[in-house]
Amino acid sequence: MVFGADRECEFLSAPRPSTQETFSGQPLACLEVLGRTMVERTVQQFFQADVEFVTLLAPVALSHSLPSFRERNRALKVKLANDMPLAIGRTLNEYSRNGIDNCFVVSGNLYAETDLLDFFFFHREAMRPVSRAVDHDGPLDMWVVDTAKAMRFDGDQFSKDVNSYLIGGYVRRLDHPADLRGLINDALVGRCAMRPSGREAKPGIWIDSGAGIDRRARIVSPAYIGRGSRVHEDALITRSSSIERNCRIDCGTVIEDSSILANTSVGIWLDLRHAIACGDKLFSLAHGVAVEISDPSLLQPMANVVHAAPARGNLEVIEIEEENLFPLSTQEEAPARPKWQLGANLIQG
Amino acid sequence: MRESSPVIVMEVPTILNDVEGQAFLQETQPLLEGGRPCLVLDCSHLQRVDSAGIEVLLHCMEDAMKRDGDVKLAAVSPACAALLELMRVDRVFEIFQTAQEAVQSFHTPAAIDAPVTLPWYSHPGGLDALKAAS
Repeated sequence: MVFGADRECEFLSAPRPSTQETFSGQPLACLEVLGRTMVERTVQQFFQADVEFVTLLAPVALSHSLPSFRERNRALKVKLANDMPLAIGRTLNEYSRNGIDNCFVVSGNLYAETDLLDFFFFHREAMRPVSRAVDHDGPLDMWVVDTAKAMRFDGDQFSKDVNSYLIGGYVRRLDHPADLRGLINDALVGRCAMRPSGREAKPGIWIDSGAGIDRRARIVSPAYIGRGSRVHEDALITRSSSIERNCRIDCGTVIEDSSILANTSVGIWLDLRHAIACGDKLFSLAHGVAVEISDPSLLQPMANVVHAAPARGNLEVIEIEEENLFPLSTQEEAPARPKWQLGANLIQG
Repeated sequence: MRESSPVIVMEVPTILNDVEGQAFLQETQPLLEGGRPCLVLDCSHLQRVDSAGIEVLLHCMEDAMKRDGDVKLAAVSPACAALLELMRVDRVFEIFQTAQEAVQSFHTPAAIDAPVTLPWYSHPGGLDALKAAS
């Protein structure tokens, strides 16, 4: 253990479904952002800080949209729960019985860049059962708790009578689809430490494995093209736009300051500006409205792959399967046909 | 000076798809056959529109433009505006908040009319003055 004599772990509670925190029926934290879901990125952040293991708590209602993980980790467990506060309490109880003294509790709807070790030592020195992270805009859904003492806290007490730890680094709350776009934009222009998956083919242009770009398509940096996505001729991807996994951008379409979420097909000669598209749903940030497009020639979901394990009973453990649904980012993509060769494309760096 | 035509305001139905669009087109066709038709399509009741519906709007616009007229949209909901933008039609139509504003815009002389009514060679200062002004 890195943190001296104390043993600790952390667990995440995925967001509850609500009108703002979900998009196209999926929680924002479970949507892929630049190749990985926010949940996966947060889990990765904790493993990089050498925590012992991570438990992901998700509501049963969201079992269909559990995030897929690109890299397997045995120290990750996923639990489904009907009553999230109760599940948190039980998990704390379980940790305490197993001799785990301290635990991070983080919402999946939060991206925060902070020194977790420093946060932990701050908590230990404060001699309080709970320490909560705050930033300049207020409290954040991130705590360090003493598992033995915090078991006595119910939901209300959990958010008060705590010690505050100020995070001065980059913080983004994912309360609204616009926050997702903001985070993608910040990541692509380098305002935060988050980096897209795949390789940086040209400065500011990130191409993930298996992506295909027609030589007549134009990608203006910064931009991200996800795994297995296709950008057809005369398409234009510009102004911090991201095309996630398994998407198709058809001929002549312009994607400007927009994000196309995984498994989405965008038709020919369209213009997506300041928007997020997911399947047949379009969220226009400019107009502040979500539109369901019934016309498949405009937007339609690609053949979707089921990532999540089926819903089980309350607090039943679902182990992450060993095989990944998609190749890892470290694998090199297979040689493409000449038409799709990257070097021949009109990419503006 | 052009002769001003009466401006006709027409309500777009709640749903504008292939079927409804054809009915709507038949309804608007007589209005577009006169000289310089000026049509305002009030979209305040429009809830669902697809690419076939947009095609109908473009057809109306095309017919009006052939006769030196124009079609303007009014009271477009944010959802419809997003769809118009997606299909790049928002730059084809002039869109107004209300039907009244759209009607008034027909009576306001367009900037493009100025060179027609006042050619550069008839300007008091001549071409040099026009260049300096621009």
